[in-house]
Amino acid sequence: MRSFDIALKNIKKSRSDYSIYFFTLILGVTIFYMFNAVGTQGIMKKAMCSSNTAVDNFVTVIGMVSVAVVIIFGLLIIYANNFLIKRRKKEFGIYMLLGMNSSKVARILLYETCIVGFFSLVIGILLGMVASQCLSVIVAKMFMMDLSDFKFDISVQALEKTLLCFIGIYIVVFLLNKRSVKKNKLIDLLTASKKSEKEVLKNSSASLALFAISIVGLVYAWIRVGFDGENLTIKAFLICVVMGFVCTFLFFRSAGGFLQKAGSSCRKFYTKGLNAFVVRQFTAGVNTSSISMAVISLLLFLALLFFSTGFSIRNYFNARLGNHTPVDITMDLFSLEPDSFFEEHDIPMDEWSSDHLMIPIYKEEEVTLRTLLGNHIEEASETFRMAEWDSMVGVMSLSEYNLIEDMYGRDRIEMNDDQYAFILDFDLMGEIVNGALRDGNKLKVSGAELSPAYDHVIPECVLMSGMEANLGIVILPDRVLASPECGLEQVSSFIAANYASEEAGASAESVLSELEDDVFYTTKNEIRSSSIGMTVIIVFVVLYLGIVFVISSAAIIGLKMLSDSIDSASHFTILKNIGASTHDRKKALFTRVFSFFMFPLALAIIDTFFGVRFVKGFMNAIGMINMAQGIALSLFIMVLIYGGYFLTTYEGCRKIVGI
Amino acid sequence: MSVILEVQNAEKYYGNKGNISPALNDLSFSVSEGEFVGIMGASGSGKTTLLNCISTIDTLSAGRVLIKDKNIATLKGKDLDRFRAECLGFIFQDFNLLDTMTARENIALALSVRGEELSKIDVKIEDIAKLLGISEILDKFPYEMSGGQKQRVAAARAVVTDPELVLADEPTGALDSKSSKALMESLGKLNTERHSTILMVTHDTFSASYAGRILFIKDGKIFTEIVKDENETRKDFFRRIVDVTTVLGGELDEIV
Repeated sequence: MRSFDIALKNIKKSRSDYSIYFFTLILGVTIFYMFNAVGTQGIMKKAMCSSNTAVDNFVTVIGMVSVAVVIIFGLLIIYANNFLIKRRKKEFGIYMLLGMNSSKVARILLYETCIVGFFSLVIGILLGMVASQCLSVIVAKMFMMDLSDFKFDISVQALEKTLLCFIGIYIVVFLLNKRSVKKNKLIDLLTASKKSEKEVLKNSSASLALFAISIVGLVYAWIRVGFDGENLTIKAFLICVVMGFVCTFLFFRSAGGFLQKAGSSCRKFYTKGLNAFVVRQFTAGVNTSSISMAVISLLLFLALLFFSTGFSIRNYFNARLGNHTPVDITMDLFSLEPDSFFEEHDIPMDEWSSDHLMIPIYKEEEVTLRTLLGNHIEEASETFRMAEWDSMVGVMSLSEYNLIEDMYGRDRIEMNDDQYAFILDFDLMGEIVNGALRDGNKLKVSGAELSPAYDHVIPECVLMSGMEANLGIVILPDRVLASPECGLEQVSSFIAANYASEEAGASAESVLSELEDDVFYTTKNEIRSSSIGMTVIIVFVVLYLGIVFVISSAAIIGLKMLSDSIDSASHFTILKNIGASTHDRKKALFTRVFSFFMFPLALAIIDTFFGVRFVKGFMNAIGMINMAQGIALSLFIMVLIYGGYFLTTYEGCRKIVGI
Repeated sequence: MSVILEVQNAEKYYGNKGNISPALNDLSFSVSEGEFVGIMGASGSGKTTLLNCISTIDTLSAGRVLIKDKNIATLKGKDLDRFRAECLGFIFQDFNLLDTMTARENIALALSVRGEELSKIDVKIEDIAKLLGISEILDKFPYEMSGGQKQRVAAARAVVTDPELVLADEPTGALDSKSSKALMESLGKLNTERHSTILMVTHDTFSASYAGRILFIKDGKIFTEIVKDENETRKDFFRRIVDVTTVLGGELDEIV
């Protein structure tokens, strides 16, 4: 028989062994191609508002993440392959016993690798092409773009990259296999299946103590991070993270002993049907693979956290985009007579705007960050070392500011004639200023003494900006500005406008872009494109890594289950002989596979619950967010990938133990 | 005494059209309640095939196996599972204990798969452990026991449910002579004190001498049968077995 025929027969014969391996390879190729291709597709360019740098950034970031992904997949595939080789050592031994030399065995392996590699690449890339198109559509939906000129395209770049990376991985796998066949002595190959993992016997009282410690540690870290997250210092936060990490390992190390103790002391449960067998199998499995279970649990936690919060970041950006781009353009014009300025440059406001607002901005030497901060100036200078505290802060009158509120569709602010308010959407600074406002820091302007109308800054923007770091505007009562001894003088004009039409707006923008010295302006389009670019990158990296983590975790558990089933196939025969019904045995196997998949996931879900609370606390401080979408997405991905692995594994195990 | 097992004209063929080799060839015998029957024969004589067909692991090509007057070929699915659980106990050459469970749990499992009540499980285990001398090792794992201890635990598991028929397949095959002796004495005790019906396949003459009746199988047929007399010592019975095996193994006229 030719080597190629033997290779083909081998693969057909051990389909159930290969299923997880093949499933992982295909998923790996699909995911890899999908994420690398999506950046080069037309829809992405549109999503980034045809800004090429944003697309380039996207491709670069995905490329960097892909390096990590290739390493992860490489290790995963080698791990999966080792499982197969371990399964087949005896077979290789027999080939060699029959007089086949090791290079011929290596050739069989090479053919096998080629067959598996070829099919996984073809199927994976085809699936990847479909999936990347779907992803494009999702992106388009996410950012509300029209799909009229959507077309199916294939990314040559991603194709090359996928082929290169995975063929590289397959070559490494082949070389490792070849080495493991050549290096091993014949006797080791023939008796490999007889060596079983030695039983790890655990001191049960030590396990109980460790388990208690790990639970206490985990609960402490969860509660501190989940319920007190906003008040944690960075050091305290890191301590919690390290604690959670260490306790996760302790948890899985001791959980086997604890569950065994708990299970067997509940006699009624334990002596019912095959429960004793199931509990023993499960706890023995947890004991022998506690480290990989801990790693899997942490990976799943990261993936879940990524999914649920990553998408919220998208929601958050989208929501903020709405809040922070109430009009098409805002300007700070260094001219006291805006109308004539626009006439002069041949863009009279009425021609390009549907509605607009012009408000003078005043300045006065007594209104500076220093006077606004009062006693809190020292605290502020610790945080902002470079700030110029004596530079003047812009001033608007109450009635005129409320015109802006009207135009932006926000609530008017109200205050008495002897009060002032501070508009500032720069959180870090805002927190310090809030202190001063709470203290009732008085502001002296033109002889009048004003007290704060609110005990906090009003976190709204006047000039639109992508980042929330405006210098702020002080609102003074009209009376103060109107009084004769007022020392305020107008320095510039604030202008907000909505475009009459896209074209009119674009032509005005092109004129303004030539006048950088006279005007500082921000448009809705600019903010939107930079913000979308960043969001898309975040969302994609999060999805990419999350999916890879889920695949890795599920594949490792699946392989572990399969190799355990090989060892425990005889157990199921014994169960049959002592009279356990087929139904009971199936149930026992199902429970075993199911609990192995669920156990690390359960801890990860609890972790995620608190992790999400922490992130939510953080984001709520900036704006409202809604996690429902992210959580729905993570559910979907988990059910699809994790569930897929679970079913494949269960079927494989069922075939191996023969029920 | 009532008949527990009846094998009628059992035939078993392996292979397919044109290339058929018989493993069992028109073989009949019966086992009564409380008997300890040994089946002896050389490798390839068909004794394992016979045991497999009795234990429902394999099916006959022709003939019938009746256990308690029930034709086991008619059993399927759930009934077969229940039959196996209620009527049969197994002891294997390689012990077949579940290595993740203690001796007690291994024995208890045989009871709990039958839905035995919790209160009775403990009592039954203590009783059988005392009889087989394994009380001290009940809470040990298989890898902490010697081969003989493992096999006695397996025997305890096989009989704790009081099955109609205990099937032992080369129970001493993996044991040294000292452990073999202890095990066979235990099986003898099970037969005399608990009145367990035992059908044991072996090719070890010493082990066979503990049985009350021995069937010798050759080429799928019963070659001969010897019964231990009431007053006969085990030693004398052993000699008789040796005599038969000598004849069985060395028919000079077959050498050409």
